[in-house]
Amino acid sequence: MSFSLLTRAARLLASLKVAIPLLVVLTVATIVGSLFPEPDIFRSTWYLTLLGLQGISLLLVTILHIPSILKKKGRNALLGVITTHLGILVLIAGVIYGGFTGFRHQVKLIEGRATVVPGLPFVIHLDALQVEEYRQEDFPRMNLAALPKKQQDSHLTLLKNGEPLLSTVAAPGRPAQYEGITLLPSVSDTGWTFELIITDPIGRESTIAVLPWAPPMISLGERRIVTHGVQGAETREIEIFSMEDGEIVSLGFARSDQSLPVNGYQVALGPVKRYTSIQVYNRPQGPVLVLGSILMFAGLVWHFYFRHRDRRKERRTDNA
Amino acid sequence: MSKLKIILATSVAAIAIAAAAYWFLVQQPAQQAQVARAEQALLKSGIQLYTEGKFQEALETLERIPSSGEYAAKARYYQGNTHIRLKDYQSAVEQLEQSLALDSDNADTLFALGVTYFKLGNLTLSRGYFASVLEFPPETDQEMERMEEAKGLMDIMARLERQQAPPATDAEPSADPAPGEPVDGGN
Repeated sequence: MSFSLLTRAARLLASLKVAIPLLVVLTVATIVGSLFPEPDIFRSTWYLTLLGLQGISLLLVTILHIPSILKKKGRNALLGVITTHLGILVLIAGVIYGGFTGFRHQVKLIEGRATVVPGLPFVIHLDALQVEEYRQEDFPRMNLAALPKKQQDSHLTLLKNGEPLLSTVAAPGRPAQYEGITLLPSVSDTGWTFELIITDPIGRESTIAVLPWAPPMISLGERRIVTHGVQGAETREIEIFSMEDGEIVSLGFARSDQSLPVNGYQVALGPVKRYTSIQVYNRPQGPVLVLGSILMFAGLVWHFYFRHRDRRKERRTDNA
Repeated sequence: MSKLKIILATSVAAIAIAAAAYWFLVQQPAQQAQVARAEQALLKSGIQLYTEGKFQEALETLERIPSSGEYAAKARYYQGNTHIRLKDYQSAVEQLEQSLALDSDNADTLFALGVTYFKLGNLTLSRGYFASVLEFPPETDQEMERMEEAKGLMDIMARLERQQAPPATDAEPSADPAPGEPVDGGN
């Protein structure tokens, strides 16, 4: 019973009726997944299952067509076809393996802070972030905001059990690596984070971290305030906003040396620190993908070279 | 090849396959279940000893649970907590880091690591672990309490950091933009 079911499933997968729709669905999903990186479908179980089914289908189709290729096109062509298909199967296996074992995290690192990424065998500490912008006179006709930074060096220390494992410098295009894990700063994705020091009407102080990628809504009594960015180079200040009747209203500016009174509370600017965005990833499938690509290329070369050589031989024999 | 030889070879192959199938499908899962039950009993006993304040005995019991087992993450977590109670914070870090390596999405372990590094005086790492606890949205009252505690400790550390750091270095980032340029929070 189960054997006959298995045979039927194998026949179905080996048929073009299944193989072609499967290929179409996979192609569409791959295009959509490439255009829209979020959510990452390439690691989803359904995508990897589809890919696995495509691999099995390809394997069965190849096996079933071996006798006819051998009969019609000869041994060299068969070897080429098998090697090419083996290459594709190795590529598929590599992608599936990477999908289950690899990972990719987009992490924000703050200067002087340690960032814990669950699942990583270390904690990342951003010791310093050196950023240098291009000046307008370097590129008079260019919009500086569209340019990458002139220098964007992240001085990192990786820690395990509180002890430093590695101190390194990473920059966009110059990733740091540790035990197969790559740390690659994102181009130009840097900015400032700061803390708000809020003193309540009876003098109690609390600190609120303001992260530009997730600005907090802060309740001061009945009033709710928001703020998002630091302004000014010499005297840094932050603008505090409140929502009133659905409108965003500016309440004024707070600085480190001059707090802003809101509803009996005092709001002051605390330490300002740089942040950078960094990609942390592991691609254990890399060597498998290289092997698959080499096999595929070798198979294609073999197939076309020997196929043409055999044909030329056949023509010469016919002419003779 | 005679018929007898074929029958003999087929029988030997069938017996070998049946034995292997029996081992993988029946015998091995049964053995694994037995080991898991024993480890579960050890964990239960270890937690009991920990709650009763018999920390040394709790450690001895929990240490017997191997790191490859189903209950290893929890065992290392309780070992870590026991070390915290014994004020052996360095050992606590080692056990808790092991627990986190086995179960990376455990906010309890992240919180315990935050507490341990706080006790060790490593405020940077402590803040890092507490910040990661805040990434887990609380679902129970206990989780909400833990989050508030993490926030409270982070608040204390922020204040300590402000008091300790010289204002000039803390307030000024490493590379200033040109004067007059906006320093916005975005890109």
